[in-house]
Amino acid sequence: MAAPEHSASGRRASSLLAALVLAGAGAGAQQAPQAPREAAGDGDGLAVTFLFNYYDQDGDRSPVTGGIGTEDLQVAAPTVLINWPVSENWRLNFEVGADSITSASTNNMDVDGLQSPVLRRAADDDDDDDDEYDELDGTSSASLVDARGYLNATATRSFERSSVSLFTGFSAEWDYRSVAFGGAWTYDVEEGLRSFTVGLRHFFDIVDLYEIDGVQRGQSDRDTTDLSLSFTSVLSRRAVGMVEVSAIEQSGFLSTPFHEVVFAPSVPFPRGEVVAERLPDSRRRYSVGLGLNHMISRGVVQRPRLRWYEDDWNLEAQSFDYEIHFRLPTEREMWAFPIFRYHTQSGTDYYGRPGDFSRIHDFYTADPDLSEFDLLKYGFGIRFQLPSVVGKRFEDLEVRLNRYDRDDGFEAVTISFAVGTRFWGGQ
Amino acid sequence: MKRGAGALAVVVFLAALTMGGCASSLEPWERGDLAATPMAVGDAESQRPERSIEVYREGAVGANGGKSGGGCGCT
Repeated sequence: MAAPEHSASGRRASSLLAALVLAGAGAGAQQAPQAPREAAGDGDGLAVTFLFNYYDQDGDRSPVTGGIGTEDLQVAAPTVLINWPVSENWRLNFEVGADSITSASTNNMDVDGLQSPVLRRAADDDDDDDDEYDELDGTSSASLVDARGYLNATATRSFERSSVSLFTGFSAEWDYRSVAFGGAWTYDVEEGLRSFTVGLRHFFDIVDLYEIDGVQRGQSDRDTTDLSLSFTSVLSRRAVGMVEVSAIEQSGFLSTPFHEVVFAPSVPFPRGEVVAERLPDSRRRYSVGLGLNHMISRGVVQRPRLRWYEDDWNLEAQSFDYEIHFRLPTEREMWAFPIFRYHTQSGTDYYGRPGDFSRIHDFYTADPDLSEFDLLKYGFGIRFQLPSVVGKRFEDLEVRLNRYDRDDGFEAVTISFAVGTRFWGGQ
Repeated sequence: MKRGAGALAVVVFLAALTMGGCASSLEPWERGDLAATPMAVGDAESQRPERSIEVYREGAVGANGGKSGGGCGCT
């Protein structure tokens, strides 16, 4: 982070910029608070982090096939993070990435157009309690590949006791495009001990309406506004606490147009009519998070996180993350840490299994991500300093390997590698 | 609401404890442990993909540094 500017004009500029940013909601340009990071770039020189993630999931409740098909999907996602301290008081950050996805969505959309449940029913090898829907499997599971590309840029100006960030971003995938603007203001309440951040982001999204027969029928908008307030405080020489409050408002087309719902059997549809998911066109989401970094003893640091969540779709959730980092007795700095996460949520009122809904209902979805479930995540991470390389400085490598297990049968594995380099300057 | 209210109460209580326990001052030489790598306030960069996964595979979002919009590449 850039050094503070010690001048009255700096303070006035800080106040003015803060006021402008806080008043700038109408212009849609603020960023949610990002807690100070000890990224590779928090020093001199251009720092670049190469991040690669591989993700593999499976389950048997895909909403693309009405809640009874495979959720098999893999994502390979390389990302480059650039941290460029342009001057003493200015810093630029860039994030560029591309996700390559073998997609359960596109694989299993009813592209043959045979929507009638008499002619088709999308369920793979599911032979449990959904037998009545399994007889006519008309889908192919040939692997199609989707891609998503994105670019985010943040400019940060530091002042004597505050900093202001402006953010913009763009992402595009096969059926979705998004432009985002935002900003954040951080105020150092007590020098180096306490800071307060307020931020706002707005996403302008466009959804291509590929319906359950695989045919695109127009586009629609989706807007997301994300307001966050956070407070970070040094509690002692070995403990830091964080509190964050977040309010998010979404409006526009919040359904996924190719997600299917199977209605209860009726006279004209003895196997149940297959229709597109239908969800409300607005959603308000609130969350409170609490975190603590505590050095239990030299070389042992615990990082518990607790998050409470509620929204007006009647979904409530609580999450608990815990990592405990151990410094290993090696010449180069090396930390190893187990990772644990427990998440529990109630389902929305709009979630149901095949046959739960009918034409009398206003809203319905078979998306299991909106259902009631408990989730366990467990894994392992390691971070260590790398030896110098001629011409460049590969500073450190971090690897995280995790598994997700949900009590509805969903499971996933993810592995991430992050290598930090510095192209000039540095220690 | 009943299910979440208890958890919220715990969060608020712990937050109050957090605020009440603030250090009033620390000399520079007392801040060495705070500079240890795992004491960084934000998530590690290698944790970003996990936050994205959790945003889209869970119904909850916010207050943990994750994203809230902008597509996901995850359908």
